[in-house]
Amino acid sequence: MATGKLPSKEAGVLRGHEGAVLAVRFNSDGNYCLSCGKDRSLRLWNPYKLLPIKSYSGHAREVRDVAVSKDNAKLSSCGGDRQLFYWDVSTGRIIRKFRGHDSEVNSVKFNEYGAAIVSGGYDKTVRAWDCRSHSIEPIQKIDTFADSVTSVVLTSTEIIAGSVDGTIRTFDIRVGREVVDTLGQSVTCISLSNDGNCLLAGCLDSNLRLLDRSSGELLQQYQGHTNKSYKMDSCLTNDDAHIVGGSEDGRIFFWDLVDPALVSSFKAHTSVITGISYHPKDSCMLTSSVDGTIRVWKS
Amino acid sequence: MDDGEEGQYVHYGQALEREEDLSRKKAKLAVDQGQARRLPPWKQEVTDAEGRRRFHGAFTGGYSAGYYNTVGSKEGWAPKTFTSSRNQRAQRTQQSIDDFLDEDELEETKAKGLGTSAEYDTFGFTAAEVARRNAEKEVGRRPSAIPGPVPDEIVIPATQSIGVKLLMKMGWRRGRVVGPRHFTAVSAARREGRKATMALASSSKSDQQPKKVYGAQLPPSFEASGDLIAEGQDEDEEDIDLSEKIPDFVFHPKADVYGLGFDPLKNAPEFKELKLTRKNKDDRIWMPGRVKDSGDAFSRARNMGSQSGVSAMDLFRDDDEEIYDTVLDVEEKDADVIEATKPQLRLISNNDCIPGFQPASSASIQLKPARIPQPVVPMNFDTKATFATSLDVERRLSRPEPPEAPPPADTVTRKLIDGLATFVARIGPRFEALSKEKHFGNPQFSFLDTGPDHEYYIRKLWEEQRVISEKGNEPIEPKRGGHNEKLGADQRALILGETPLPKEEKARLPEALAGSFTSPATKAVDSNKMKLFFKEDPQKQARFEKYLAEKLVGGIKRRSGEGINMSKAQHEQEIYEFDKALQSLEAAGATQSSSLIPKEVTELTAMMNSRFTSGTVETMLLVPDSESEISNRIIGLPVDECPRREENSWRPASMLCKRFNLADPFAGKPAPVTKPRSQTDFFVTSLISSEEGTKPDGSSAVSLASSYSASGADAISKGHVEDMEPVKMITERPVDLYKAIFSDDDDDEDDENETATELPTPLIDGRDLGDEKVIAKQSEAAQAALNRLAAGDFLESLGKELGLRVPVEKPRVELPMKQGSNRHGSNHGSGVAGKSEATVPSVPHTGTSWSGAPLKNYMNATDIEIVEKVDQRDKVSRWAPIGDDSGRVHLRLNELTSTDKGPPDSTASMRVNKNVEAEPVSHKRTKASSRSSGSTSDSDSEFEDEKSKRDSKRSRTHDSHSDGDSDRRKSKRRSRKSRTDSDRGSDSDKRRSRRHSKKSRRKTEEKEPKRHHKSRHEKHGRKEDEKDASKKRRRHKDKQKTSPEY
Repeated sequence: MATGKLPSKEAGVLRGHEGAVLAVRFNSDGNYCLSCGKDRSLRLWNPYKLLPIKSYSGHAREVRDVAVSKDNAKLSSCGGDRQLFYWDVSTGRIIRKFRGHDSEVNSVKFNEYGAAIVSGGYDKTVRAWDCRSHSIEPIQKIDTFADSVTSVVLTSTEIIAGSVDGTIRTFDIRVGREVVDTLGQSVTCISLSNDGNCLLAGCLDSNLRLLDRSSGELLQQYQGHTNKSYKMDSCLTNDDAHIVGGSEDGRIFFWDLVDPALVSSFKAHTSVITGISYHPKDSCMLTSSVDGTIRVWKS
Repeated sequence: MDDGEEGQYVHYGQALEREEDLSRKKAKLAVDQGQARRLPPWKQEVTDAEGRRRFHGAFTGGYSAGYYNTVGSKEGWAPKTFTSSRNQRAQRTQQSIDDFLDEDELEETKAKGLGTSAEYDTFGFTAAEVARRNAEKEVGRRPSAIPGPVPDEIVIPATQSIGVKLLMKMGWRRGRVVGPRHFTAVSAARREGRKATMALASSSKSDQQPKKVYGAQLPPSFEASGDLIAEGQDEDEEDIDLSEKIPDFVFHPKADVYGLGFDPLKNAPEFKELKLTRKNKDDRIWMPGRVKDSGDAFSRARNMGSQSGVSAMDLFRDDDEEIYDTVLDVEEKDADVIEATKPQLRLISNNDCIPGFQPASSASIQLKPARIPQPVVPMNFDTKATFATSLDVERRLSRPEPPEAPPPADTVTRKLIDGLATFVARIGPRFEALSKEKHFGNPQFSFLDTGPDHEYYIRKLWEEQRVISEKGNEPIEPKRGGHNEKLGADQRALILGETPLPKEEKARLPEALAGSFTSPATKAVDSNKMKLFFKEDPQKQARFEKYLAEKLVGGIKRRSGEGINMSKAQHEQEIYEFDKALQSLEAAGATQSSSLIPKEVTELTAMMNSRFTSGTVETMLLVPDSESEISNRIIGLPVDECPRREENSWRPASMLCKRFNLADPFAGKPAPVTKPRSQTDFFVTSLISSEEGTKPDGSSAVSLASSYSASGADAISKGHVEDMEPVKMITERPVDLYKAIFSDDDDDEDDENETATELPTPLIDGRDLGDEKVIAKQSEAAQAALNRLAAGDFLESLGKELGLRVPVEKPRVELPMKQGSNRHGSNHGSGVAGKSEATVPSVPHTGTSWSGAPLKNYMNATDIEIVEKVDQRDKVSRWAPIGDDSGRVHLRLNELTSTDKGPPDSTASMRVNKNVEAEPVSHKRTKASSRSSGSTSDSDSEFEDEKSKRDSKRSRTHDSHSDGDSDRRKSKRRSRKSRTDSDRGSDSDKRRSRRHSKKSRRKTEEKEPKRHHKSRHEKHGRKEDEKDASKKRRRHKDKQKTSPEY
């Protein structure tokens, strides 16, 4: 893939958040995006027309992560108030509040059917919540982690969670098995490749590590950026050819997947890049930063 | 009222006028003034001392109002705080007590407080205060760049203090020193007088100038001093010198940190004097010489004049008396000079004494203090104090060198002596006394008192002491202080005074020690006896002997399994066997061996044992504990080890599986331990578990249940059908007992529902239960066994409570349980459980249920089953009285057996049975149904049919298995109710009802296997072969045949 096709041209800035933006996520079809931040609100945007569409407020503290269900009808958000909110997108109402985490919730994801939410938090647990019933109790609590759970990823059969204790744990629901991959470095972000075979883990030693999911082998390491103290996103591009990662100095880095060489890097924000979301189909990317802006990047 | 009476009264106030006594005009006046007696009450007014009307009628404003006498407002007592907020918003007035006082009261309070008026503040404080206040106000009014209050230095009072004013009036000007000179200077008349006298005194001088004399003459007392004032003083006076301009503190700034008036040398007059002399040397040195030199009064006066500033300054020092004392002592002639300027010093000046005193011809008191010369510090003086400990003191006591003594021939004794000497040298003679006392009469320790080796001991002791004292204060104590610090072998050897062994010696050490410690006689006996063990396995015998030899050596355990192909478990097991063999051996030859092995050797062995750690412990430590490893997984592992992959078992919640649209991999497995939700729950469970020693979790209950059911199956498989009879006999009893104690129907319903929700999945698969041939009887037998046990337990516990002895049956229970699938099962590697596992491999272990049993129970392998069983039964019986939990446990057991085996049977759970009497309505209904069924009327059977159909439908529609379960149990209960009912009735009734119950049971049984199967099928999504189901059906039929008592 030529470098020119990488989304490195700024197409617009979404302004509206007061204070740092902590996460930005495309919705499942990539037409809209959601962001959340320290101003305790969620915002729904049209990133192409640069339009703010809706704001969802209800959290008592900063909102750390947001997830969109596959049918784009529901939202789930989590944050410093130790709660998960289950939102209805169109009305903006809170359908349910899930309480149970003992401290801040770092990450949240919907499962394939939007029937369950899985969250990971600072209380060293991963909890699964039921969206179908009226129960607000977690249906599953996983507390094998030794430290804060920073990132959760779901496949159709597995829960994968990365933790500050330096492990990535894969919980296979179908088999009833926990696979522990010890990286030895605090994991702040995990993301799956689009084919589902690889796992990209952002570690606090300023390394991105690519793991083979079936064997747990370390396939590649990507260096060059700075990530020492922040929870920062990293992901693969939609065609799995490149790795995208943010840096604490506000730069965006692109690496080639196979060859760990740096393909390109550019200054995107004035401050730490917190969230990166790649469009599921197009060459388009969103980045959010502590400087309070969300930028849309196109090739 | 006559005069006599009137004289007795004292009158206050003004008497009312008698109208009749007054003239008409006067009377009218009195009426107008309100002082007439005849005034009607409503016209009379009450006034206060000032004549103000204080009381008003209700229509005229209440207590007091309006302009007429009060607050100066039309509204009268309208609150001052009330103002219309329309125009003046947010203006609040702070009320003070003045607002509530009348003017006279105000005056009164004002009169009480005394203060200086602004004109009369002596020190200017008031003015300064006013100025500061003004400044603060100013600050409040306009914001300044500098925050905070204005510093006092900036604020200068506008007015001068009265003191300053007075001084100014007296001629003082700013910048001048207030002193006697100026005091004299200000009084012009006095100065003039002085001038006049001066003119008179200097009349003899050649350069005399004519002076005008005016004003009053000086008094005669001033005559003496007056002549001292120089003529040119007037000129000098006008040009202000430095001393006048610059205040004292500029010349002598306060360099110390003492507080005002503090005298550090108060108690050390010598130092004080020294200091003062040093300080004033420069000022004073001129005085004797100059004064003595100058012959004429004029020059002296001039000197005086230039010096006066200094002296004036000195005057204000508090410690100046001595100066003047000494000075005046020295220069008696000049006393008059000082007298002139310092009249207050005249009293102690020597010239004119206090009346009645005479100046001494020679100073009797030596004012000069005796100086003590500084001591010479020796060269090797140590500035730090060292305190001698008792140990040092003892060491320092030099003892004569004892004569050299040859060491004893016996190496053991020698070592003993060496060691003891070292200890005594280190610890002190107390240790010696202690060991003397301890080993009194012991020939081995005879060297302590007398004996052949005493000299050697003394010598050794002296040597050791010398070594220690030579080492000096090399601190050993602090090293010893930490308990955590362990002595290494080398250090220990150093302390003990041992020379380190060469390598090859070290290798030979075990053999050498064995040779020294075990006498051949014991060995012979041992080996003879040893032959008895392990005859069939010579290799094992050899290992045993080796093991024994090592054991006798004293704990340097090597792995005897080294080199031989043995797993660790095998090795441990063997060690255990050896241990046991050794125990029996020791028991047999206790007398022999104890007499043969010398006491000291055993003591030493014990000592050695404590010194060495056993090999087994070390190997145990080497085994990685999976749990601890997980917890130890931390950041910062070596990178080359990462990433590492591990796999653990993990159980997803069934609901999670459902939401992920996946089959539960653990479906059908026992439910995991549910953690208590709240703190109080946890507290309760922990209390219970601490009572029992083990956690009452589901898995143990399940294993328990399965063991019971299996034991029942075992009993049945032997074909003793008649054995069922006593079983039944027993099972009936607890039913009544439970009923009597626990019968409350509401509770029961709740409990059942609860368990139904709690256990949504069947706990044990029927397939796992083994033998196909006996499977038909298993459920029944399991029930029987379970009930028998439960009944036994209950009786036992009841008996214990009542203090009766209950005969306990001991059915042999085997434990054909499957390996615990829970995660705890794998954590058996440590400690007690690990050992038991190794030694008794024939007994299967079932996870948690085993870990609670103490090790000693397994020592005798034959008793294990019973021990185990009793243990668990104890658990059950102990659970029994603990409220709801007991019920839940039993229910769970019941549910297990009933769900597993499908159809209900006669000896079903007592929790269900106990409802027999507690539900009168249904009771009647079933009674009726039984009666009607006896008369072959179809209405009730139809009802039954309908009911069961509905049940089955429900169970089909509900995808939850538990619903079906509970329904089935309900129908079961119904049928059972009818049965028990009929038992109470007449014989014919009984027969009839039996027939009926059999019938109805058959009905439900016909349905239930299917339903059960179906629901499970739905639930698990697994294929279960039809054979199983048909077998089950067959099994129920068989059961009906084989149980003729129903």
